Amino acid sequence: MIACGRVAPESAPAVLTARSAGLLNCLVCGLLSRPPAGAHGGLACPRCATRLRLRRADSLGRTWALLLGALLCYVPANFLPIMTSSSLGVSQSDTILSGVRYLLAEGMWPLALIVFVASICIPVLKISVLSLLLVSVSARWRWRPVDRSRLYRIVDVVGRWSMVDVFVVSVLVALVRMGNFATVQAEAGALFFAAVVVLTMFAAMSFDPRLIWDAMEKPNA
Amino acid sequence: MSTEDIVACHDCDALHRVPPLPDRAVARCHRCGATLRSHRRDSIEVVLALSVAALVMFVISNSFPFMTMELSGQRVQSSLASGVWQLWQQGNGMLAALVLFTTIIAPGLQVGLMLYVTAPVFAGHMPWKARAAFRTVKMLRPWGMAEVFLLAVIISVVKLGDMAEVIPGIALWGLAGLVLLLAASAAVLEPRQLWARLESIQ
Repeated sequence: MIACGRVAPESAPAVLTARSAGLLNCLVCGLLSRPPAGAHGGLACPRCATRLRLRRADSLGRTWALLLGALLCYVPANFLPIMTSSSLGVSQSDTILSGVRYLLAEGMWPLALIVFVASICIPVLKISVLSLLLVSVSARWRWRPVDRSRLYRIVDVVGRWSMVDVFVVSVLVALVRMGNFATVQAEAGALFFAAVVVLTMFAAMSFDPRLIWDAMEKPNA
Repeated sequence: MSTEDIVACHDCDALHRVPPLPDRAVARCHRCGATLRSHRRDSIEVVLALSVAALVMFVISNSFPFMTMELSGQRVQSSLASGVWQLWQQGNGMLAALVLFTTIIAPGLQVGLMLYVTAPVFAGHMPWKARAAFRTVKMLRPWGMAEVFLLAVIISVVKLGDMAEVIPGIALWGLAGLVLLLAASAAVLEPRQLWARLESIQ
């Protein structure tokens, strides 16, 4: 048997895409349709009535803007307390990081690990991966498009789990309400943190992974 | 060759000719590896059955307390909505709205709209505004966070563990059931099949 070498992306034959075939792919129902000659914008999918576009509208600009917003919220999200627990007049404020430290001190390291990954690793990874993808698309990199597509899919799926700390605050606030005896109060950090999660989710949604491949098709464009 | 055979990858735009797939087969993009299409003979029927069960779980998880905390004689019962209510009372309206939307409204709408679309289609009818309803299901998917909330409940129990006694309620089991059923439904649902079915009824 002859071992086949992997074809380098540079020498790969041109792939027929929906765009090069003059077709529009509906991202909601997956129907391919051919726009009528001379049509410009405002086309709707004949099957599901979703607005059809060749690529997501202003993908790079919108994704950058949402990421920047997330980055701005990221700082107060980590430095401001997310909640304050008061018990018999003694109150203690917790940040995202001190919550992890508490679980670790309690010996609950599996949970500490989950919260650390969900609240600290995922937001950082998400912001940096999306920035990397944006830079790679703008600079028309031809570097490992398959892996970049995979990175995008991972970031898109995993982001929602960061919300776990916001929900922990909501559960504690609901349960610990015993007047002067013990209460938990949500703090501004939780809102900033929720904003980071929501903004990065919108950022991932506005990024169009097909842009990664557009750069592969037209090397001199 | 009908246009139904030609599929463009939603992640890289490459065109593929996808032959009719056998039951439970998945077609992937040859260029970027994204899932192009999958096929399940009984997709709509199974999704309908799962959605009926999910609706029951949704009602249970919202009508009973999900946890009771006991601390030196005092008892506090908490339901899904009471977290939202307490956040609102503390003046965190935005946070309350976000928790309300991601843990109650989005999962509820997901289940309700899936039932609204699949039940009539199963019976061979075209539900009113079916296309808009099914589009909304897709839009809502990332925002329904029942499973993330369940993880948060577990973490909260651990955090409260040494301070008070925490007793899980019926709603917690309802929520766990809802999470499993929503995941199963998402795994079984083949949107293209349902879109094609909706088109054939019209």
